[in-house]
Order: sequence, then structure tokens, then C-alpha cells
Amino acid sequence: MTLSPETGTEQLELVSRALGRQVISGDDATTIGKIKAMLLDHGATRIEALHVAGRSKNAKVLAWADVGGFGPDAVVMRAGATLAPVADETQEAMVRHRITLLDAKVLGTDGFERGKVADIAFDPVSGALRSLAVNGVNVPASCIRSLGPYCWVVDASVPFS
Amino acid sequence: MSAASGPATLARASDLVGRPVVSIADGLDIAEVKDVVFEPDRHALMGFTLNKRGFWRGSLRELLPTANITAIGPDAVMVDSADALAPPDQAPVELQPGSKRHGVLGTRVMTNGGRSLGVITGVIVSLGSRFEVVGYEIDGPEQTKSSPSRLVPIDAQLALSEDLLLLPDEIEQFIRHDLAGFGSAVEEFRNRPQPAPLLPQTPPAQPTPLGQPAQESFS
Repeated sequence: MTLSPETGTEQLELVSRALGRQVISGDDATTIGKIKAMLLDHGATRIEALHVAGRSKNAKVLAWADVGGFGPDAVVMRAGATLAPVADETQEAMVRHRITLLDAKVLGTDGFERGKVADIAFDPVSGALRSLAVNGVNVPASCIRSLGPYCWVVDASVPFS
Repeated sequence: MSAASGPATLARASDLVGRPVVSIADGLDIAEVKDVVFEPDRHALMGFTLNKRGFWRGSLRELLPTANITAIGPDAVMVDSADALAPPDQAPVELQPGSKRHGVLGTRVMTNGGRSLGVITGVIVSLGSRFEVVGYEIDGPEQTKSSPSRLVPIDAQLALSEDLLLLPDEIEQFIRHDLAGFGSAVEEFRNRPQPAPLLPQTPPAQPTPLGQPAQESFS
């Protein structure tokens, strides 16, 4: 089953499509960079920041609160906002690709592997994750328990494909 | 198949060696199974000794008692968090380094009618959130490629010494040759009409006279 970017009346976005999208300054309309990675909060429930520029310790991220608009062609940074260093170890691990969102292993709390993440649907307004596409199964975000360097962990109730 | 939605999945305990121990709280592989420790008299899985993860892995000082395990699956052993790993002095005595261990691998198997069935070559465990030791794998004296190893329910154990496991004659009808059909054999044995005691002087729950808690080690 393929994730649809639209669920009901809510317009959803896909991580696979968002990566590489242009990021524009709301102050002077210049291009700041492209989305290199999407950084989630510790509980893997929402996008906390976008990795836009720099690498490793010099990485610069755009906090989700400073996203003025997340459109299909570009992300516009709120006027007056600035890029910042990574906020914590989790963000640093994602910038360094020690934690990856796509193609990562998915384990149930029962110790059974469900497959790998093909894509992730999220709300481009709030940044909240909505679902994971795993081996043709649409896993609701409410079933996500965590994301770490080894895997995503989801509830044992998540069915197998 | 989900452990929560169907019959228990069975596996050879030796197949758990090398499986990652994964923290549900943060998706991190915090260790891997080095050895499976079980107590054959009580048919109880006591827990795991552990190795570190990664290329330079070596023994990990901490141990994983069964009580701290959330689920055992074919792909990982799941724990709530890294706090599940216990320092040796806080783990059950059977898991602690230096405790006397009595391995069952290589133990001869005999029926109480005096028929040799072979030797124990493995232990079968049920996975999921209700994990337990459910059987032995036995290689018989007449074993060939066309006659694979035999699986017997551990509940049939009448007595176990350091070199002999005694099973009832009726065990023959509960022997299976593959894990797929073994779960039902375990249930059939548990639910069978209870025969008169075969060895009334040796109740199954009685500890073997070893003087120390007996354990299985798969290292």
C-alpha cells in the first residue's frame, strides 16, 4: 500500500518528497539551502527542525517554529528567524545520519521485525507525523514508540504485511 | 505473526544467541544475547548473559534477568529501557558469574521403560511476551537425514540427573520433528488425561539431587 499525501480533508506531505526542497529566507527571498534531513523530537511524534546547512558539528537547522510556510515547491523561513546549531544529541545523531528516517528497520515491541520504512506522511502545518509506510502497511503515528540508531519501535498491535 | 495475536512462536534457544537486545524507549540496540540460561528442574528461563554490540564486542558485565524482558521475538529481545540490564549483584543467583551451571546438552535420554532415545542437542523456547522453555531437541542413535532430530515436551520430564533425562514411555506419541507442529504437541501433552504416577518417588517438581541449582548454558 502506498502512502497517500491526502487523508480526508487534511493535506499531508511525504518525507521522501520534502527532502531536497528549497529553503527560502522570508526576510530577503534568498535561498538559504535545501532540506538535508528532517529532525524529529525524542519521542518521534513530530518534526522539530530541518537540517538546512553545514555538516556534523557545524550543522545549521531551522526550528519548525520558524517555518513560515511549508509549500510543495519551497519552505519559507519566517521573517526575522535565524538558523541555529543542533539542539541536542538526538538532533546531532540525525544530522550525522546515525539515526535515519527512511529505509530504517521497524521492530514491534514483540521483537518481530515489520520491515523497513518506505515513507513517512506528516502534517506540513504542525509538523506532526501521521503515518509510516512499512512493507505495504500504513502504520498510524499513534503506534510509534520510539526511533533510535537501531530501529523504529512500534506497538505489537501493528499488523504484518 | 504477532505474538499477541496467535499461538506462541517456537525457536531453538541457541538461535537466540547473537540476537540484539533493543530498548523500546529509544530504539537502541543496547546489547546482544551471549548465552541463554535456564533452570531445567523448574523449566524456567532465567535470563541471558550478554555481549556488547558492534565490531569490538566483548562480554558485557550486566545481565538480563527474565523478569526484566518485555518480549522475545525472532528478530530481537525487547526491553523497556536500558535500565532492564542488571548489575551482577542485582541479578538472580543462577545468572551471576561463578554460579554452578549444569548443562543439559549431551545428556542421554531414556524412557522409563529402558529405551534409549538419544542425547539432548537443544532446548526449545516459546517466544512472545509469555516466554518459557517448552521442550528438548534430541538426536537419536538411529538418526539419519531422513529421520531428523526429535522434539519432546519438557513437561514430560520425569527426572533429570547430570547424565540422564528420564521420560515416560508414552512420550513417543508426542514426539515431533519440526517446530511448526511442536507447539500443538506441547499442548496435547499438557492436556492429556493424567496417567497413574509412573515414578511416585520422584515428583516432577522435585529438584534434582545436584546440591546446586542446575542450569543450561549454550556457550
